[in-house]
Parts: sequence; structure tokens; C-alpha cells
Amino acid sequence: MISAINITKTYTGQDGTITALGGVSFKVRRGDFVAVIGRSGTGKSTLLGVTGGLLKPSSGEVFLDGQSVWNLDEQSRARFRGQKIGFVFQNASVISSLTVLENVVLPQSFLPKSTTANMSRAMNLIESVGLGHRTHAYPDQLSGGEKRRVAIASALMNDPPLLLADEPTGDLDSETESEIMSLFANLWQSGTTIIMVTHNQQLANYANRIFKMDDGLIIESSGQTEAEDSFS
Amino acid sequence: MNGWYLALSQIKRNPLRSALMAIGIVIAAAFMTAVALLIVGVNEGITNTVKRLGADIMVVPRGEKIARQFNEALLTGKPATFYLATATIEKVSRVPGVENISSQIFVETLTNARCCAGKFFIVAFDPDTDFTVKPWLKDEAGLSISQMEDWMIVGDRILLRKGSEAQFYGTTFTVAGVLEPTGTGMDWTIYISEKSLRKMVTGSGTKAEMPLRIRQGDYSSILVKAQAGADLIDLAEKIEQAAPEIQVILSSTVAKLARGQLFATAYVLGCIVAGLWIMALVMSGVIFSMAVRERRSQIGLLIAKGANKNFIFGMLTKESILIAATSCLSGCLMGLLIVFSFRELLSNALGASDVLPTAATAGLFVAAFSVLGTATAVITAIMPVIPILRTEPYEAIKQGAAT
Repeated sequence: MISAINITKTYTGQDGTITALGGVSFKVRRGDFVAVIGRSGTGKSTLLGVTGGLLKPSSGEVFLDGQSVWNLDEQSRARFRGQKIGFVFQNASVISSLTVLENVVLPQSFLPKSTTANMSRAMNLIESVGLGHRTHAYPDQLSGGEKRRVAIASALMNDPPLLLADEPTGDLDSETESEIMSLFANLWQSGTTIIMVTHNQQLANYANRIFKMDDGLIIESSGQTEAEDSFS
Repeated sequence: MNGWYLALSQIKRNPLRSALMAIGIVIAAAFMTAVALLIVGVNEGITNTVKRLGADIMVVPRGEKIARQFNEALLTGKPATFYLATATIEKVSRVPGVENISSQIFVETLTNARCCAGKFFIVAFDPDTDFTVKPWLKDEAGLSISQMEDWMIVGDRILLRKGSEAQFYGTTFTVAGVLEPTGTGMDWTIYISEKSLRKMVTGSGTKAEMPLRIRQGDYSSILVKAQAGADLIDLAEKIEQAAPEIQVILSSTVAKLARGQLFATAYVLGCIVAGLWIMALVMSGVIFSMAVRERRSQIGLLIAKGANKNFIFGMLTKESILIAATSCLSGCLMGLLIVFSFRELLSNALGASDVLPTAATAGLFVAAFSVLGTATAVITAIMPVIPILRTEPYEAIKQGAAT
């Protein structure tokens, strides 16, 4: 499903050139639940950004269902992203000016005009994350865990085959963390491919594959079953 | 859910920020509209005044100083005293193209006249031949003139009203009428009959502190009404040739002078308005770009959900259009309301007959300022946002504040 080939990402600043990704290659099969773990600053989030078409790599290629993500122009990539990928972030989970329902429906607004907003699907998703009673609430009326659930429902609105999550439980208490991870587990079991960045080793246990990163490289991969899985 | 919906939701959910962005624009737009309407209104007033001046050509004794004094008297009511001989009137009346003439005699009141502080300008005219003063009379003053002995008609700015009395050079005059506001020196002038003036001159020798010396048959100016279709420049030349001792002043020249004064004021006000507008734009632009900077993570999130950068740019433009258009229109209407509400006060302060232009002109100005104001406000708000949009979406998400 995903194939990343020799991805590098460097930043040039006043302190010289910083290498965030030093030539990473990996493959993820449809239906995998991959946990990307490692200390802060090892390139986990950068890898997720590049894979999701949100951060241009300095070099290398990312293929999603055979389509080169970074060979598409900006508009096509946006459309491709809207159809194929759902995102859940720790930093930006929901749009603060929209209600729960509007946040969940939002991704459908960016699909081609032939697709109309499907309110019943949005309502089902909201129900499935346990927020049926908060449909018209604004984000500032929600707890951190509730916001994250809205983000998950929103990420699933376009029924994407791939879900990318960056520290989805980063600032949540342990009880809420378990609830969110249960949602991820259910999604995985229903066939969604998930790549989740986390610094929490325990959360990685929910995944069937683990990429351990250090210094911009995947230094260890567990759970791979195919010989072609490679990392550098 | 389109860009307009998202833009409106941002405005509704951030009322304080939206209000801060709007307030500067509202104030500047209100001031700009009010000033523009005042200038246009006063300018229209000048045009109307000249149209209603009655005289196409004014004749006064030759001399640059006299011309200046005469213009000043017409525009500001500052007393001017100079005289022409009776023979001049006959010469002017015989020039082909002259339809009608009316003569006036100018007098300056003594400083301690029993009516008003300072010196005032008295103009004596013949009510039978006059075609410049009587059209400005309010009420039925014309009737009062015919029934009274020593009457006077006062300009709108003279603090005397109908029935009041005042004494000049020992002669007591009763106010028979008040002129409509003209926005010219007529508002500061006192008009009496030529007959009363001659009587006042005669009596001043014994009754006044200082005698008034005007020779029998002397006049200060001759007001000329040209025949329909006459070339005024040509007629002015003919009059000057017929009577070399005089000079001719066209009514259009008076308007030009009045406009010169208006435009000097307009220039100063224009500079203030420009400064205020720039400040409002900068303030609104800074607030908007700060707001967008704060929302970087949300912009990144929108891109992650499938929005492209054109959509984001359009959404932010729409947001700034909604704020700028609403505040510009509100400000312009407020400016119109201010001028309308304080119409009398402003007219008095500016010495203008009126400060409000016609409804069509006012509407045009409000519409034009709303559109232009919105356009400049949107451009100023959007320009600083463009570099923010160049940030990689993932960087924007990471840099933005947590939500």
C-alpha cells in the first residue's frame, strides 16, 4: 500500500544543515497497524508528514497505492490526500470555529462536487466515537479526549484506506488514552491501515508492526513478515 | 461547507478579534465619508450660490487692491469701501449685451455700532432695480420693506432677527428680513436701501461720532445681468473699453476664489483622512495577520483534510472581505449620518449654505468609498498572510497552538 524509497529531509538554518530524515525506506501493507516509536527529535513526525503529503521531502519518493505522492501537483495532491488519507494530530485536532458535526463533515467539502455531504454518515461516525450527545457543541466546550474523538471521526469521514496519527493520545489521561486506542484497534480490525507516531512504548503494543527511529533513520523494525521490507 | 461558510464561522466565533479589525476601518471610513461629503456639499453650495448670485458681471473701480477687497467682501463679508462716479453707471448700461444693472454702495460700520461687536459691512441698494439681494430674502420680507421707513436686511450669520433694531451712524434701522444662508460674505452683510443710506450720510454729521463721507451719486459696484446667450468674456471686454476707469469681475471668478479657499481646507482634511485610513489599514492588517498566524495549525489541518492552498487563500480573502465590507459600509453610512445629523452646525462652522450634497451624490460616495475601502482593506489584510501560506502544512500544524 505504501512504499517509501530513500526519503531524506534536511533543514538549513542559522546553525547549519539539520538532517531530520537521513534516507528512510519502508513498505506498509494494506491492513497494517504500524507504530513509529522513538525519542523526541528522531524524525518520527517528519516521516509521517512526508508520507502523508504534507511535508515535501528533500529527496526520495513515497508511493501510495502505486501513485507517487510528491509527483502530483499541489491541487491533485490535496484531492488525493482528501480521498486516501485521514489524519489525527495532537496539536491540531479540530477547527475551533466549527461544531462537532461540522468538523466531521468538513473533509467531504474538499472532495469533487459530485460528492455531497453525507450527514447520516457523519452522525454515525459521531455516534461511533461516543459523542452523539455533543453534535452541536463547539470545540471549546469539549474535553481533550472528546476533541480527539471528533478528530478521529473527521479523519474517517471520507472513508480513507489509510489513517495517519501523530501522538494521538499525547496530552490525554490514561483512561482517555485507553478509549482512544480502543477506537484505533477497532478501526484496524475493520481493515483500516494505520500508521501511528508515538513515544509511548506501551501504545506501540496495539500495533502489529513497530518502526523504531533514531537520528532520522529506522533503526529497528519488528513484526514485518515480508523480506522486501527494508530500512536504512 | 464552502469558503464563505468557514470565513463566517471564524468571524462569528471570534467576535472580539473581528471587532478590533473592524473598529479602525469603521472610524476611518466614517471620517473619510464625512469629510468627502462636506467638501462636495460645500462645493455644490458654491456652485448654487454663484448660480443664484444673479449678476453675471460685477463692475468695481480699477485696481488690484480693490479687486481683492471686493472678492473678500463677497466671500467673507469683510467690509470694503471704494466708489465709482454716477457717469460710469450710464456708460455700463449702454454697452450692448447688458440686460439689467443694479448699483450698490458699500459702507463700513463704526467699531462701536449699537448692535454688534466689530466692524460690519453695510451694502446699500436700490430695491427697485435689485436682482441680487431680494432673491435671498426669507419669509415675506419684501412686503415689510415696502411698509417700513429705515429697514435693513441682515445676512444669516448676523445675530439680529426680524423686528430687531440697530443704530448705524446715528440712524436707527429695523430688521425687515433675514437672508437665507448663502455660504458667502452675504451671510455677514447688512443690506439697507440707497435712500436710507443717503439719509444716514446726511444725518451722520450731527448724530454720529464720526461723519460718513460719501458723495451724492457715488457708487461702489455695478452688478450686471447679461442678455441671454451673451458671451460674458466678450461683454466684460466691451464694458472695460466703454469705461476705462473700472474693472470687471466675472461671477465665475468669485466661485474660483471660493473653491480655492475650500480646496486649501480640503487638502488639510484630505491629509488627515489619508493618515487615518493608512493607520486603520495597518491596524486591521496587523490584527488579521496575527490572527492567521495563530491559526496556522488549523490552516494546516484544513490542508490535511483535503483543502488546497487556493481554497485557503480564498477562505482568508473571504473572511477579510466580510469584515472589511461590513465595516466600510457601516463607517460610510455613519459618516453620512454624522453630516446629516449635524448639518446645521457644520454649515455654520464652515460658513457654507449647506454641507450635504444631493442624495444621488451622497449615495454614490457611500457606494464608491465602501467598494474602494473594502478593496484596500482586503489587500492590506491579505498581503502579510501570503508568506504564512507558503509554510509547509505539516510545519504549520507543528508550529501552531494546540487546540
